[in-house]
Amino acid sequence: MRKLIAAILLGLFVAAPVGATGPFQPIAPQQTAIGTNVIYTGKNLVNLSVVSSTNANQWIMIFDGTTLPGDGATAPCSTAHTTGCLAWCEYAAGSNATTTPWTYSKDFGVHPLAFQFGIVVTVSTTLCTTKTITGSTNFFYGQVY
Amino acid sequence: MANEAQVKTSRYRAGVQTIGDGQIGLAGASVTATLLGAPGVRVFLTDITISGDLVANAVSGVATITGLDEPWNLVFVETVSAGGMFNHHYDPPLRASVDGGNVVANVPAIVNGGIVAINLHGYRG
Repeated sequence: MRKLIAAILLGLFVAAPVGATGPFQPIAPQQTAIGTNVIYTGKNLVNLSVVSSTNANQWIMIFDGTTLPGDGATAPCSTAHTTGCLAWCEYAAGSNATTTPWTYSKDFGVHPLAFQFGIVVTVSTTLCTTKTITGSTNFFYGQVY
Repeated sequence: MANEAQVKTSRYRAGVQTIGDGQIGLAGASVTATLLGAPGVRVFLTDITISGDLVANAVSGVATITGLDEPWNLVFVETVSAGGMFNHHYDPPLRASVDGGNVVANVPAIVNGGIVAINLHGYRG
């Protein structure tokens, strides 16, 4: 009987596929920040979540650069790629003005956004063509590599 | 599944460039975003996102993508729903019809007012 139990236990260990146990592991480091913006050290953005304590309508702006551009007109990224250009801009509604906080979440996992200089994320109260930074109450969560 | 996701991601890692941009259109205005081609290289479209004014719940329209290889080179149409956003991932990516050619997404008119932004995501090969 002991031999039978030992054989069964041994079989379970041998048959278990490598990596089939344990929780799912994210494929990219997680970086969080609280404030007006976040600057990620990676060059590829896989996932992004932004939480704001205000329920105003806002715009998520993602720049290809290493510092936060100043307020004012934005310059879209193109073939003549320069640091600080606007790589992504998306409208995020203020939860229909009924709930707080306001939350934005985007999964770039299928085709990660690739950056040449760095990843700078911020929130603007004005349209993609013009950046007007919001207050310091945003929470950023990103997966980058 | 995790392994599959990693393989899929790595396939696009080399040479990927984000060459789309956000464009803004107001009520009734035309909105255009372009993936710029370059001589000797071809543009590939991997993703398109169109977001609009959800609060007003009034944005509707038709997006057209031109400049793509067959069978998408003539017209590709999607409706921006009342919810105000749609996303598409193209796997495999859609290829521009000619080397150096541009891929252009356009919403010719935004019905019922509102605001629209278009993001095109792709790379050059």
